[in-house]
Amino acid sequence: MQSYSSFNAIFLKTFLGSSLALALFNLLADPFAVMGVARVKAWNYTKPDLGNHIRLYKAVDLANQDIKTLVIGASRVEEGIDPNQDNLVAHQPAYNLAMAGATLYEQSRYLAHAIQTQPNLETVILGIDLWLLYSELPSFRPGFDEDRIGQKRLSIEEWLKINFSFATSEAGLNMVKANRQNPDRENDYSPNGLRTNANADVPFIHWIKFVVNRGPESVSDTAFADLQSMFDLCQAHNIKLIVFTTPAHASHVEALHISGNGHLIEEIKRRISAMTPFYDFYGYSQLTYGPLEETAIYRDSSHFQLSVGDLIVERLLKGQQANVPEDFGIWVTAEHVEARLRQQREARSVWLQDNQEIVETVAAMQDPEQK
Amino acid sequence: MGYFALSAFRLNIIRKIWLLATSLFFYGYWSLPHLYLLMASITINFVIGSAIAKTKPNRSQAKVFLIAGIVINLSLIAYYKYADFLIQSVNSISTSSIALLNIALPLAISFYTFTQIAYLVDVYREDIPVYNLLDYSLFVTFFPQLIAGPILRHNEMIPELSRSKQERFSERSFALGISLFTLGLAKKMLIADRLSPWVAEVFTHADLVSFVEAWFGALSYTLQLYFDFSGYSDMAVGLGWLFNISLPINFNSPYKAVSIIDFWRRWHITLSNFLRDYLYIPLGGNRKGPLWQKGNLVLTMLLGGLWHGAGWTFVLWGGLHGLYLTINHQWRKSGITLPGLIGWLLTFLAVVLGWVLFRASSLAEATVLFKTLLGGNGVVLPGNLAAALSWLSPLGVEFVGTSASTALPYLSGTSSQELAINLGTIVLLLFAVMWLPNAQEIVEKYLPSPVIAATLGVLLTYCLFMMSQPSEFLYFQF
Repeated sequence: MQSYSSFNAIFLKTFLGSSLALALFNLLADPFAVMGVARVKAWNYTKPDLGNHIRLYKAVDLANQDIKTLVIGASRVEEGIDPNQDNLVAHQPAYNLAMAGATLYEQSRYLAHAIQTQPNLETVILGIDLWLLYSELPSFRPGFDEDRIGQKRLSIEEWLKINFSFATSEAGLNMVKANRQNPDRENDYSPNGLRTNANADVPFIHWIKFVVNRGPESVSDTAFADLQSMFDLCQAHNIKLIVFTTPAHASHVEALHISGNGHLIEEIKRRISAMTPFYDFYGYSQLTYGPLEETAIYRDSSHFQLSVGDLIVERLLKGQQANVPEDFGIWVTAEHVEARLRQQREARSVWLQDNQEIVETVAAMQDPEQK
Repeated sequence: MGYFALSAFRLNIIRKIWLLATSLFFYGYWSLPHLYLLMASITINFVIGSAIAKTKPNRSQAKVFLIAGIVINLSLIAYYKYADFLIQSVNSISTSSIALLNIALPLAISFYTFTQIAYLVDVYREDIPVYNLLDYSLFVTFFPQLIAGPILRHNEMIPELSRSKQERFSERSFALGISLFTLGLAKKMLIADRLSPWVAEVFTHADLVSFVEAWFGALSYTLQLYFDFSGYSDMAVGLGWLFNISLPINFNSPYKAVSIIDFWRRWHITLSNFLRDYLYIPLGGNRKGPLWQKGNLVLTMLLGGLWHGAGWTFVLWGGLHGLYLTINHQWRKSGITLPGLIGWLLTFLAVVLGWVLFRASSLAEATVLFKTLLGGNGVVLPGNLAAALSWLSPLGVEFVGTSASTALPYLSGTSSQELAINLGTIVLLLFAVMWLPNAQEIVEKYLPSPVIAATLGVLLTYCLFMMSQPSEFLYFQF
């Protein structure tokens, strides 16, 4: 005769056995690289799902570093600025904390996380994507968790949440499969946080279409407040802050003008210059010109290649002594911002004259309803 | 484990204190300020209950305390739950624009105020034992039922705490309890939560959905609400059994009901009993003639609707069920019996239509959905079915597009295959609620089978692993 005590024993053994087995798999697979488990070829060496959990990964990864220099921003910086480049030799160890789509609020909180966990931090290089200052965005993206800020380790709650989750198991299984199919596949992120596998399948014009079809936008005071908080944080901790606006291909910049939002560029630059001097790379210059599909220096119209990133850093650290085209990366202060804006208007006029075909191609991407 | 360990050492007072502390911690974890409110409510009601008991020989004096207690409890719930509803209603019918108070609703306030009102009325009306503050507090706060019921009566819970059998760990109670808890959790997480986005898709596009989509949404909600609410109740009862405490069953396969009267004996049973004993009967019930009975039914259900939420759709839903009950009682008096299947179908359809009103965010949304459900906005089917169902065209059915996702965009599912699976899921769930045994029946009938033990163990693991989902942000869009 079946008894309740044997029922309970079977129930508990099945429940505990299956739960612990799955949790152990999740732990040993560690698809999000946050459990500190060794990477093994053909098992978990490369982690394809890491990028989808970058906020989790970088919060933990950064806390395990001991850095002097931090690079921060959104996707342009994430894949475009190599912390291990020659220009930063004297500033090592360096880490790229930029994250795809990171709002300025997230960037400010991750900067706080860096300051709290990196006692030797001396320099922060902040790349500002202008679109973050005029887009209506949520404060933070899925995957952001305030409780991680300032923590050296995962909380017990988060540790349990990750290991006792089917989503982790699924990511783990996909990861093992990918590793077995291609044991020589490299990781999507280098140990210093640089994203190395940017999406080459995105057409060059992908973001142009998006920008040219934007409705009327206005500058976000909230985003500027988040930006100011980053400046204040660095000042309060005696950290040297180097600020720059990230470049995009001229066609991308022109798309913003065609959408009717071009006035935002000048408004934003004026406001930033009133807060802090910065290097302006956004606009019309030799390193933003070129035909559409100019993938040698731009992966797509919005994201510059590492070679451009090296030149950016050289300009940031060496100023006018840098071996960089002279119109690429202009030092802008509150006193000189109008001169810069005038120069840009002139540069745009010249570019428009010489690139009518590009302008027409970009304009044709606009939906009839937007015109 | 701590609970039964303390029992083993005959530390009964400490055992109860431990359970009370656990329950208060459970509540306070969600909101500490509201925990203080709960404790204040318990203390005030206990004091008033004691005052009623002491002054009962003098009925008038006891009545004053009773009225004061009811007024205090209703004022609490009126302020926290209904203040903004009243303000909005006044603003909408007048030219005023009184600012909303935006008061955060304390968790479970509807449940614990009703529970305590019932206690005060029972103290006044009946001879009940004098409880101590510890037992009384535990009765109100016992954590399995605190958040979402069942609504307890003091005589269902407090005597349980002192039964000698209750103090000892029971393999049988544990087996039944953990099984029912697991089934309840699975009902909530694996069924109700999965249906939720399907329902939302239809209701947020109420003015755009077609006949098929509206019925899909209405039926999905009918199922979502049942599995969600009964799932919670099963978890509560299951947890109670783990502590050897029998909480009352709250759902008994309500969608098998063959009349509305039958439905209300199967749906949220503890609320129905509360409304009957503390509202309907004191109002006069059926003792003052048929007209009074109808009025009492409608008024009771209107207030029952209002209890569910601070909104006119809830009130109207209650009123609709009051009307249904009135019709049902009248029908019974006529002596005409419907075949069981017809009775069941009419009851089910009446309930589904009621749920549309319950779920709608406004009367306008409900109205447009009703019209669509009754075919008032036409019937649209996918164009690829035109050949097979061409005979429906003369009846006004339109065939649109080439696939289900084009013709019926608000049905969840991006491909025809996914759509077919989702529709099939609804059909299967309807079959389950109408013909299969419910969770309590499964537990009582099939335990202690080892196969069931293993199955439930795996099911609990599945639910646990489904609960924790690290959020992801798709980085490849950048």
